[in-house]
Amino acid sequence: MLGLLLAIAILIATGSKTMTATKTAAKRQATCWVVFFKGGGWMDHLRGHLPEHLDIQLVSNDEIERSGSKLVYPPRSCAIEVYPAGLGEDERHRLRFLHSGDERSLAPYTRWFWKNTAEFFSQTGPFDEEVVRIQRIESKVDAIRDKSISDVLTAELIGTVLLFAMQFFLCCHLLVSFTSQDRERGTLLALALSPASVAEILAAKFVFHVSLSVIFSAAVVGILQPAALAHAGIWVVVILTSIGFTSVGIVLASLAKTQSSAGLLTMCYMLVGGVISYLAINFSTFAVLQRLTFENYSFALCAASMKYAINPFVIPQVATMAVLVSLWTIAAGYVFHRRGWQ
Amino acid sequence: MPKSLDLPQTTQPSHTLVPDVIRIHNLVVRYGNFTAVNGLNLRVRQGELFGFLGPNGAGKTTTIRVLIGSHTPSGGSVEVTGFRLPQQLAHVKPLFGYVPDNENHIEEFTGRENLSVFARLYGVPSSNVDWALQKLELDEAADNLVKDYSKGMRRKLLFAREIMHRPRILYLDEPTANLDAHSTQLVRDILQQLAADGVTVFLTTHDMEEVEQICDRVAILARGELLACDTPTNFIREHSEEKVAAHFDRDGELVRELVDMEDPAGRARLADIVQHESGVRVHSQEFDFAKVFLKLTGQAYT
Repeated sequence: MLGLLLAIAILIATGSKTMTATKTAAKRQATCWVVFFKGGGWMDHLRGHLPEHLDIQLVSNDEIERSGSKLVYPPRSCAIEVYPAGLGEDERHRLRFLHSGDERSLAPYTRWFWKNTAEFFSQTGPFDEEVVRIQRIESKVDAIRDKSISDVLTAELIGTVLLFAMQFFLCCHLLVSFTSQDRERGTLLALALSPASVAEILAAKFVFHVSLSVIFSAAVVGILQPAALAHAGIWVVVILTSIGFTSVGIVLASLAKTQSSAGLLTMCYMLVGGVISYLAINFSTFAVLQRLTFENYSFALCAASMKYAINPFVIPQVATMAVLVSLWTIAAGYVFHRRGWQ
Repeated sequence: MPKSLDLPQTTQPSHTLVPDVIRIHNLVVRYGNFTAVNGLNLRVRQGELFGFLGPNGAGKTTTIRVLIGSHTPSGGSVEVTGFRLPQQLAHVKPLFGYVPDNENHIEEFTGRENLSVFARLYGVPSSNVDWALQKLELDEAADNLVKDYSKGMRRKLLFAREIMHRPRILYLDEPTANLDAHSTQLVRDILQQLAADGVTVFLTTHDMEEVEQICDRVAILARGELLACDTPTNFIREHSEEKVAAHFDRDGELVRELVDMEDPAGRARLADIVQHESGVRVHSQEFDFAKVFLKLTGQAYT
């Protein structure tokens, strides 16, 4: 399982550069829709100077699909919308530049557009946007239709999921599995009857699982975003998450008497987490539930860590998470002392 | 008197003068509505080999669980070496060993590694590991994985683990189950040696021969209540039948007649048989602990 997670991380790391390059290349080749609402000499000039190496579709607004008042473009394309002067009270041409998230993808098209626009207006004098009454309206992804999965699944997101899954596996799942196995064999009772106190056994479990989780998390982050390791924030988040999951694992392992029931309880925990997230996303009244789970903060902060976005503004989130993790740890200590070792 | 154990001196316990090592007063243990142990009173002395008998579900294991601190009693009080349980369990834990009825080894480790883990926990030197392995005749298999051990070897390894730190009290649940005749005798000898060295041995067993052979005192429990607690000698004295069985031939048929030797008429009848019957053979009625056990526990269930 660990090997699999690490292998995925390595694949993402090695694939991400290739992926970025491929995406950039794909975006260079993507279609740019130049849409005019009113034809004329300007548009004719542009049509007469379409470059061979760029895929530019110069079309009237009637030829573009609409969704309400918006024009909708195919995925991963970009657009330059040219609104005519004199529309409403504005006497200027208005230009909207649309892209699917990466502004650089527009660059070759805007270079071509401005070069030929300047050429056209220079015929009557020196080109000046104010003089020829052109207003730029920078816009971005809102008009681009359905984003594809590759646009959504960034390396950072996959890395966050990997990091989160690894911590859950090492601290919660593995601990529940080991502890319930030890209980079924009677090894846990033998240890508890030795001079080692229950608190020492509990501390040993924490040290082992949290250390394991920190080591492997560092490996995942090191593979995916090596620079993130230099930030203290990611270590705080990883350690807090590991302690949180270890505490949850100890509570689950203490409640379950057999390995099969421990597996079932772990599954229930995951389902409850999923249901809480679903309810919180879809019904605002349940949002408070999500704010009471340390996993919610953990995932968000892991994602922020992967983007080096841990900054002073997230300190309240980190503090809230620390409080929730502390509550779980206290609960773990109490439950394990009461019935966990027997 | 059994020979003393040649244990390394570093682990010799500092025996304090505690006449009763285990004191159980009016112990009650309930599981919901079911009362597993009901008002048990018991005192076990230092160096005593104490047998704890009872049919299945009598409350033996529950009592041991209370004594090792893994179960909190519903009522009454339990003191072990002067410490109250479960409140002062931390003081008692280094002083006892517990051999459960099921093996709880770390299967992936060798026998020696298993013992070494616990040696570190108890803070005893590795020489104790070697000593315990040798004592239980496991030294040749010490470096084999436990998962490759036979049931008997696992049982002996468990026993070795629990005597390794030289406990003052040893609790054993069916210590000779799954052992061959040689190993059974080996374990019994070690138990007697330990008791002679001042270790209190508290064992549950269903082997009546074991009880008669090694126990200093025996308690019989049924339905959570103590039915009897005495030395095997007193049990024999109290429950032996003062009768003899006379076998003789009469008209070609073998006749068996039981004669009460405590009754003068019985003694006269035996003399008459010996004088007038042919082919007479007289057998004394041997004490049968199992019969006594069944008689006592049977009464508890009627």
